[in-house]
Amino acid sequence: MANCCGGKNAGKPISWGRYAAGLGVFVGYHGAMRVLLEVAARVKPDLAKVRDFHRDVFETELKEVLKLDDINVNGRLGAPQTEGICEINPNLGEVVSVSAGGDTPDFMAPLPPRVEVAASPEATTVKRPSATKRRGRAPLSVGSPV
Amino acid sequence: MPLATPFIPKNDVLAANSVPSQLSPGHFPKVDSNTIALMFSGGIDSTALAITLSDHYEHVHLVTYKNGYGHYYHGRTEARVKELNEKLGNKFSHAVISTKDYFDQILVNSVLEDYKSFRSGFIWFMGCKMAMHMRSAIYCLENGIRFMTDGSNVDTEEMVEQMLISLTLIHHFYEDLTVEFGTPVYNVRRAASKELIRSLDLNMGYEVMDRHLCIQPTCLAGELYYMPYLLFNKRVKHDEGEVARFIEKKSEICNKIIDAYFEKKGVVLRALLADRRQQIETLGPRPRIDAAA
Repeated sequence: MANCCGGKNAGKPISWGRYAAGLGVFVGYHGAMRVLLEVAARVKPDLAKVRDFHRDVFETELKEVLKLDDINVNGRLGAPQTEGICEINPNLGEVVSVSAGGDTPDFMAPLPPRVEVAASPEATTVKRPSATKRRGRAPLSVGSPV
Repeated sequence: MPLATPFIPKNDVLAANSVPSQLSPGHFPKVDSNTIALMFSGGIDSTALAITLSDHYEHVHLVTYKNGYGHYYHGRTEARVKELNEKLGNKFSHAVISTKDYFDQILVNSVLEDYKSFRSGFIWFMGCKMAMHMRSAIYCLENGIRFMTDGSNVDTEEMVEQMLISLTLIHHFYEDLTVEFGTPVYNVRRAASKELIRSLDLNMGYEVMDRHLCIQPTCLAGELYYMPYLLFNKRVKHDEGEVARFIEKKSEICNKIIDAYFEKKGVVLRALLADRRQQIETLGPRPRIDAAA
C-alpha cells in the first residue's frame, strides 16, 4: 500500500552516501536536460516554454533536496508512517468526498483474482462531485475484497 | 489560455493493425460488449491486465501513445504486443497514436501560466495523461468499444494520474462520453502481476530495485520529475484539490477537442452518443470479472 499517497517508499531512511550519490545523479540528469532544452529552444523557439517550465521545476526541486525537505537521511525524521492514512485537503469541498467503509469503487471493477488481499476492514470510495463533504483525516486505502 | 478553435491533426494514427473504424457521417458503429480497449505500454501492470482481459473478452484493443516530448522506445511496446499475440493466439490489435497536438493544446501551449496557477510539476503528467484519455475516448467512440481500461495500480499511486481522485474524475469524463472506464488491476499486487507474466515466459527486462527496465517506452520528463522520490525516498506532494481543479479545467479543453474532432469527420457527436446510449441499454450491465471467474 502506498504510504500516504506520497509513494510506498516515501520517508524511508537513506544514508548520507546514497544522498550524495543521488544528488550527483539528480543534478547531472537535470543539468544535461537543461543544456539540451537550451539548445533545442534556439533551434525550435516553440520549445522555450518547455525549457522555462523545466528550469522552474528543477530549481524548486533542487532547493527542497538541498534543504533535505522530506528526506529522511540517517533516520533523522524517525520511522516512516506505514498506515495508508492521508491528509485530506479540507478545502476540497464539493470536489470530492472520501468515505470509509464503502464498496470497491465501481470503476475498479471488473477485478481479476487478487492474490494478496490486504487485511484491511476499511475501504474508500470517491463519489461524484457535489456529494457529501468530508473534512480532516480519512483512510485512503482501497482494501475492500472483491 | 482560452482555446478558441481546437486544432485537429490530419492523421494522428502512426501505426495500427486493427480493422479501420466503421464510423462515418450517418453510420455509427455497432457497440460491442465482447471487445475491450486498454491503454498499453508493455510494462508490468498493463501487460498483466492485457493477459487477464484476454481471458474474458474476445478481442483486446491495445492503444499506445506518443506525446512527442522525450517519449521514446515505443518499439518495446510493439515487441510486447507481438509476444502476447504469439502466446495468446492473436487476440490483440495494436494502434500507436500521436497525442502531441492534443497535449500541446491541453497543456504545453499554456504550461507557464498553468505552472503559476498550480505550482507543481504534476501538470505535465496529468496533462499528458488527459490527452491520452481523451484520445482513448475518441478511439472507443470510433470503433464501437464500450469498455476502456488502464493498468493503474495502488502501488504506484504516487504518480498523479494514478491517484484515486484522478482516476475518479477521469472515470466521470469517460462516463459523459458513454465509455465505461475501469482500472481492473488497481488492487492487484505487483508480485502477482509479475508471476502472471513470468508464467507465460514473457520478457521481464532488467530488474533494478523492483523496477523492470527496457520493457516499455521511456518518458524523460517522468524520470526527471519522480527522481527525488526514487533517489531519496522523498515524499511526492500532490495536493488533491489542485489535481482535481486541474482535471476539471482541462476536461473542458478535452471536450472542445472531441467536438472538433468529430465535426471534422462530419459526425454529430450528440447523435453518436445518443445512439451508443441506446445500444448499451439493450446490451445490459457489463460482465464482472471476479475471483470466481
